[in-house]
Amino acid sequence: MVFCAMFFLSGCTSLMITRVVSPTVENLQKQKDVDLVCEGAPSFLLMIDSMLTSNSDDTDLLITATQAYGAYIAALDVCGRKERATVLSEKSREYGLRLLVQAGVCKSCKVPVDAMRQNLQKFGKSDVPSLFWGAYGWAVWLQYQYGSPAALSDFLRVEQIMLRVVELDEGYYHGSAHLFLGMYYGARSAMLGGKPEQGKEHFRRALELSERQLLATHVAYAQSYARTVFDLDLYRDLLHEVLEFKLEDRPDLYLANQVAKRQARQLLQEMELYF
Amino acid sequence: MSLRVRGVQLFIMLMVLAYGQVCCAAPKYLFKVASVAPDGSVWAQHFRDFVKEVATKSNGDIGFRVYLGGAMGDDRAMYRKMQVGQLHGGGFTMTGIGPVVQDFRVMGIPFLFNSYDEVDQVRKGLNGSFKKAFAEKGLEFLAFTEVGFVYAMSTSPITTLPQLQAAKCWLPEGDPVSAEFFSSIGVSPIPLTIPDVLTSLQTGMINTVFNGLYGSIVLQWFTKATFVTDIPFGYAYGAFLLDRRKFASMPPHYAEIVRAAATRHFQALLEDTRKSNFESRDVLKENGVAFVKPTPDSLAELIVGRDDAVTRMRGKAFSKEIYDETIRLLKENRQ
Repeated sequence: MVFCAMFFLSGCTSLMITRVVSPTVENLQKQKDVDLVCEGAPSFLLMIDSMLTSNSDDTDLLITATQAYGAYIAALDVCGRKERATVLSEKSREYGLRLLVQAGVCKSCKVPVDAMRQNLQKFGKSDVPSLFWGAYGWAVWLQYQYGSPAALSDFLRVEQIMLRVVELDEGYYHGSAHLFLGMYYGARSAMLGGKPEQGKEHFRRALELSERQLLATHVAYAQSYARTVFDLDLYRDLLHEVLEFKLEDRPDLYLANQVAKRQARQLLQEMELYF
Repeated sequence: MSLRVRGVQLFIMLMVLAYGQVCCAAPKYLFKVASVAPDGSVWAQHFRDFVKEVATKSNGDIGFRVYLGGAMGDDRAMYRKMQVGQLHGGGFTMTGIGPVVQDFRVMGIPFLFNSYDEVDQVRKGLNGSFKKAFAEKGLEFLAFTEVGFVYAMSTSPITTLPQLQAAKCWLPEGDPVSAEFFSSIGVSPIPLTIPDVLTSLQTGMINTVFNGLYGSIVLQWFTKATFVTDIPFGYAYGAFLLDRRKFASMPPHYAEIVRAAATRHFQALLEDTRKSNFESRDVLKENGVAFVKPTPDSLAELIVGRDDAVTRMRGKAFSKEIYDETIRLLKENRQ
C-alpha cells in the first residue's frame, strides 16, 4: 500500500474510488436505515477529504466528493443536524469550483456570464459529469447564501452551465439539470424576475426523463412552481403521487425517495400556510 | 445511481430549510398576509422570525398564513383582496399603496435624501403622521420597509441631462411622483410593468431603468444596464400593513405583542436590506458594471426640475402639510 501511494498515487486513488468509494456510496443509497446513514456518512466524507489532499485534481474523486457532500447536506435535516449545512456547503463549493476550473469552464469563475456562455460551447457530451457536478457543488453553497448579492449573480453562471448540460445530455442523472432549471425559473413570480412557465416545462421534462420515479422532482415541482402560481390541485396531485409510490419499485433510489416522501408529508401538512 | 441521485434532491431540501416552520395549532386570530417578496428572500426570513415570536408570545393564539412571491398578485390586487376580506394584510411598496394613502409617497420625491441617516431621521419624524394616515384608511401601519436608494442604470453612460433626455427611460407604472418629475426635466418615459423591463432592455425598447443596487441584481437588469449614474436618484420603500378592524379584534396586550415583534424584526430586515445594497456595489463592479458621476451642472438642473415638479405635486400627489413636515425634518437634520 505504501509502495502504491508513493509511486502510483493517482492509479491507487482511482482503484480506491472504483473498488471502495463508489460501491460504498451505492450501498448507502440502498440503505433503508436513515439513522445509520446519518451516523456513517461523516467518516466517509473525512476519507474523501483525506484522499483529495494528496490528489487534489482527480476528476473522479472530485465528482464523488461533490456528490457525497451534497447528499449528506441534503440528509442533514432528516438527521436532525441542519445547523451544519452552511459550514459543510463550503466544501461542496470548493470541490464543485475545482471541478469546473479543472474542466476549463472558468479560471476564477467570476468570468462575465456572456463569456461563460460562449466558452461552454466548446464542451461535449463527455464533459457533462464535470459540468453538472461542478455546477451542482457550487449551487449547493449558493443556496446557503440566502439571496446574497454575490450568490444571486453567481446563480446566473450556474444557470448557463445547467443549460449547456441540457443541450448536451438532458437525461443525465434522471434529468437533474432540468430539475435545477425548473426550480430556478419556477420559484419566483414573473414580477420578481422569475419565469414560472419555463420552470414548468423543465419540471415536466425532468418527470419524463426520470420516468416519474425520482420523487425529489415532484416535491420540487410542488414546492416551487405550484406555490408560485398558486395551483393547489397540482400541488396536491404531485405530493400524493409521491406518497403513493412504492419505494421497493426503485431500490437504487430508496434513500432519496424515502426522504422525498417525508418532505411530501410535511408539505401536505403545511399546505394551508400557502394556499 | 448512488448518492449522486440523492444529492439531486438537495435543491429541495435546502428550500425546506430556508422556509422553516412557522406555526401551527389553530390560532384564535389568523391573519392572511401576502407579499411580492419571494420565499427564501430576506423579507420572508425576517417575516417568519416575526411570526414565530408572535406565535410563541401569544401561546399560539395569533397566527399568520403567508402568501409569498406575488401569489396574491401585486400591491393593488393585494389591497383589493384586503377590502373583500380575502387577505388581512401584507408587505406593500410605496407605489402600490400610494393611491390609498397619498402622503406615504412623500419620501419618494427625487433627490430628496443624501444619506440613509437623513432617511432614518425623516422616517422616524413622519412615523406618527403615516400611522394616522393609514389608520384613517382602515390600515394598521406596523413597519417601514425599504428597497433603498434608487439609481439610474443604463446601457450607455449617462452623466448629463441631455443624455438622460435622449434616453429611452422606463417609468414604473402607477408612480405619479416620478411621472411628474420626468415631465419637468423633459424626459418622455415608457411605462412598463416590472416583468417586461428585462425583455425591453434586451430588445432595446428601453435603455435606461431605475432600481436599487440589490434590486438590479435580483431582477438581473444589471446584465443589460451596465452603467450606473452614481447619485441616489430617489428612495424606494414600503410598509407592512394589517387590516385595522381585524387587528383591533385582538385584546390590547396581543396587539402590543404584534407591534413590538414587528418593530424588532422589520428593523432587522431594514439592516439586512442595507447590507445587501452595500455589498451589491462591489458585486456589480465585479460583474463589469461601471459607476459614472453626473456633471454638477446637470445635477443642478435636475434639482431645479425636481422643485418645479414638487410645486405641481403638492396638494395633489401628497399633502402640503406632509411635504412641509418632511422638509422641516430634513433641515433639522442638516443643521
